Amino acid sequence: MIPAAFEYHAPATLKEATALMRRFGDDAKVLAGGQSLIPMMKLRLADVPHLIDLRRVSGLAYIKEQDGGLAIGAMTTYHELEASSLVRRYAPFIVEAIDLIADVQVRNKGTIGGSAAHADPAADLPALLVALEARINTTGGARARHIAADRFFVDAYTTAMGPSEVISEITLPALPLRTGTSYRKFANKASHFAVVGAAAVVTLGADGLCERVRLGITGAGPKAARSKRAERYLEGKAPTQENFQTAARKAGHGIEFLEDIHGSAEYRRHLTSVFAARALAEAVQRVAD
Amino acid sequence: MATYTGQSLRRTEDERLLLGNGNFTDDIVLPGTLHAAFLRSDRAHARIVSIDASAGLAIPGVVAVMTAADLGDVPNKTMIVKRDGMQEDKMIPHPILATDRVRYVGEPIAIVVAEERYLAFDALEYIVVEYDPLPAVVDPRQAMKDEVILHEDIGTNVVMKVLEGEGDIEEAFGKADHVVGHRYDDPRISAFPMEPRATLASYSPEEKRLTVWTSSQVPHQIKRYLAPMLGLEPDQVRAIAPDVGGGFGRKIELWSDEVALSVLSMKLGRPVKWTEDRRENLLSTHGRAFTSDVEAAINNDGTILGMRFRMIADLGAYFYTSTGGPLSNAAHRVAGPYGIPVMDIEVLGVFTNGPPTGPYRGAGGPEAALLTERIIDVAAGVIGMDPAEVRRRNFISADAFPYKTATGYTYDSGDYQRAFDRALELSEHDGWREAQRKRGPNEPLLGIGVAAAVKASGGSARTRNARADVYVEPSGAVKITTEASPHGQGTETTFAQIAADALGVPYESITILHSDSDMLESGHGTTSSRGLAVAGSAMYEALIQTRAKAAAIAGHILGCAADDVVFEDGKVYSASDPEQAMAFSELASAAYRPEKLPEGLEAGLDTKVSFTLDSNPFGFGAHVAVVEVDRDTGDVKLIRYTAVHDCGILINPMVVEGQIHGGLVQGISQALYEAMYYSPDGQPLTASLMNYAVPIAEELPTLVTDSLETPSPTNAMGIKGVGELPTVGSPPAVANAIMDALAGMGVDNLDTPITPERVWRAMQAAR
Repeated sequence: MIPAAFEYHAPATLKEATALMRRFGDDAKVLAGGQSLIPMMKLRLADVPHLIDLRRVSGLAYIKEQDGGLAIGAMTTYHELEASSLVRRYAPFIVEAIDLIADVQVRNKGTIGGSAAHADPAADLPALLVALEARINTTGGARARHIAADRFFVDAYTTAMGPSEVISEITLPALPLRTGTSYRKFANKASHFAVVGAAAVVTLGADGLCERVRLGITGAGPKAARSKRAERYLEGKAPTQENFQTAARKAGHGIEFLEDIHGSAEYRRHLTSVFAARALAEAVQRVAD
Repeated sequence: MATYTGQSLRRTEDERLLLGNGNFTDDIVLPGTLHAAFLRSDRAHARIVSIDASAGLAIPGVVAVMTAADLGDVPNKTMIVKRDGMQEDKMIPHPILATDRVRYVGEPIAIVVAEERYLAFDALEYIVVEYDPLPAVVDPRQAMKDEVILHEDIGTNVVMKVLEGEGDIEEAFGKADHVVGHRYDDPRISAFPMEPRATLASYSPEEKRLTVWTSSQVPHQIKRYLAPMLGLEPDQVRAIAPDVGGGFGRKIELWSDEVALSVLSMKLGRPVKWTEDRRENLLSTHGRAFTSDVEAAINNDGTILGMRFRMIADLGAYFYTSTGGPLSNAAHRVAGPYGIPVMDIEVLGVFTNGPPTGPYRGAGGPEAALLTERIIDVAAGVIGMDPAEVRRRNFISADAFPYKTATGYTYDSGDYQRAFDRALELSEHDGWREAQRKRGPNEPLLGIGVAAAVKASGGSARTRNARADVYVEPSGAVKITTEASPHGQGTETTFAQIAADALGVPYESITILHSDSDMLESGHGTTSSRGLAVAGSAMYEALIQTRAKAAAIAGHILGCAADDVVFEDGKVYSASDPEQAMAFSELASAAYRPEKLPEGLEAGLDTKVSFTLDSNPFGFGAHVAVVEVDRDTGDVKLIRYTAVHDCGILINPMVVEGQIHGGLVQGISQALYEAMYYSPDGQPLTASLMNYAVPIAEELPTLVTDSLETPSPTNAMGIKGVGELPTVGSPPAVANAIMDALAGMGVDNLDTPITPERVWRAMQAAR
């Protein structure tokens, strides 16, 4: 488990980092915690002649309130998110989801920007980002961009970022009052990544009906995505088990289900509806709590 | 007068290990060491057309690239020990390095040796192997058809056949009220030692002597097998197993890797080191790998009349030293703790395009128990009797020992009924049955599984012999050399407890030396649950002889009879006149002064023994598992696990409990998590921890354990081995609990590992 030789760069600014990315093109990869990239390099699954480490770039690790929501620096670690009272107050399911990510050592190193940019189809946070309608702010391209999360994840390990773009910040918009969140995951028994993960953000109206529903699914298909058909079904309906179940059965619509030794496509389809229903029910339960 | 025996002393080993001060093979640094990396086949079955290492050799810092062509006079094969069911003309050994053909993914083809480890790995990418692919076969039932033959010169893949049993099975089946049958698959799994294999070979051209540090359970065997292969005399090889991070049976081979590294060190005159990585370890060897049909004849009153087993063992592509071992073990061990009069067993061994298999914790025992214990539950279901009751009705009774099974074993002692009842009580078995009846349709399914298991300790007649050396220094300090080669068993602690009591000296004055072939002439290491039972018994014999001589000297000095001498608290005194006393250290000092000795006694206080245990002790375990099954996903949660073991007299209950915890978890893991999956063309699908599942602590409930102590009449201390015992009963206990949870749904079989998807599919099919 020894990687091939590589050149290590540790720029001090994002500008320098993107200049290096432009210079080395496909030969370069950005290191933002390294909890996925380094193992891939050690197994020689990733050949990275130039590694551009963002750890020396200052001002990329922060969590602050912004427009009623949060702005999070790309190099903020899982641990920092998990320990943040701002995050806990904003949407407790972020803390719960992070608690399900690997182990303490990984959470001390892995970052939110790294997770988003890596776009592992089984990663947990992307489900939450799409359900929260997060924006992924990038720099290094022709102009700074603010990419909607559900457009950011394009395919397995593929994002909407251009070759010299890098994530600078992730913003999470304000959530309406009477909103509950839940992340429920069926973990791969070996890696503990998601075989299927469902992130639900549900707002109840004054009439007690589901006013606004956002459901993000990860693990099931090649990318984390919103289940818009399930969302639309539930919006305007009463928060009943029966409605959650029906909505959840629509959650798999449009997903090209993955298939591997941890779950057949058929099983993933089934788990998607089970975990969508559980997440929706729990999110609603939490509005009342 | 046992001061130490029976006490849960903390392990002497733990402080250094827990503080990171252990000394494992990879920690050993010799000046001038070269680092090796193996080029291994990425094909399951192919002809090697050519190997071009020139680009790798051209890298500065790369010292050598060795292929089979460079082995010279060293025979290109590892050592095989012939076991029951093996045939001389079909014993194909694992090559040191592949010559013209590779037969599994991971088979070593070439070795790069470089000044730095990183360079060696880099150079691997520059060695070009041209392959001519051949069809592969990984399923043993498919391999038996001989459509793809691994070794054409023997003309078949079926290379082992073990027959065992007694009585007329057709007659038993004919007269029984019911005959039930099933097929169970027991896939390849990894022994998964925390420390993978590692070897440092260092040849001294001046001394003409090779020293091999290796992560092994059997350093003496490494020396014994390695020397002739290298054209050396036995005393030209020294094998040392320093701290070893787990073995579980898969470190009892002489690996081709160890031979190759030794050859390189001799060629280059420099130390050569290799530390296996996890991927290599997962691809190097596996345990279990059986697929079997089992049938049982049972009467309505619960009496089991007979059982028939047709087992097929996947041997992999070649034989390593012990590959053939589990087959005959399994044939004997299907009897379990029951008095089943008629047994009919056939075990076939089949070559496939996978790495060689071999004994893994239990070594045929868990393979056997998985069949016997699961079919008993099926039979219980058919006659409508609680599975616990069926077992109680078939146990060998406590007064029937020694008991000869219909599979050719003679059990020494036991009280199976009592240990089993204790397990039922401790687990609140009846309470769980009640809870199960009350479960509502919206709650998870609840299942209760029981299993009972017997495991021999000591191995074969060959491995029931052991050497031990007790040396009392003139200062009174005691140095003991054992041939046990511990790798987590706590031998330094438990052996010192025995010795301190035998000589009546402080525990701290005992030093236990082990795992260096220069220390003792020969040995069999720590395998087959033999550490305490055989090597410990040998030490005990040496201690008794030492004490006898010491008593003779003390009697002479104190003026009393030798058999009147008492050894206690570091003192030696006359039982009839306790005023007549001396310190043990005074006695030790006197033993080296001829003028202090009775006539005819040689100076010195040391004893060397070669000791043989005439027969094997057999331990017993009774397990109760309680599981919940998620009705929506099929996910299984183990919520309670209880195990009661009887491994004879306990030397250190805490050490025993530690071994039991480890063994239970490995068995639980086999039932729920582990399998080495291959694609039909022989490509591994689980070659990393991203895909090969082992449990973490939070996935397991608290393990509730207890012990009974039925002394073994086979040895002076009344002990039985415990290392493998807990791994035998735990896979079927968990499997039975899951099947019990699903019983109401009409699910009739699930193979291990019982994954959530398998459960879900079975529930879907049954609906």
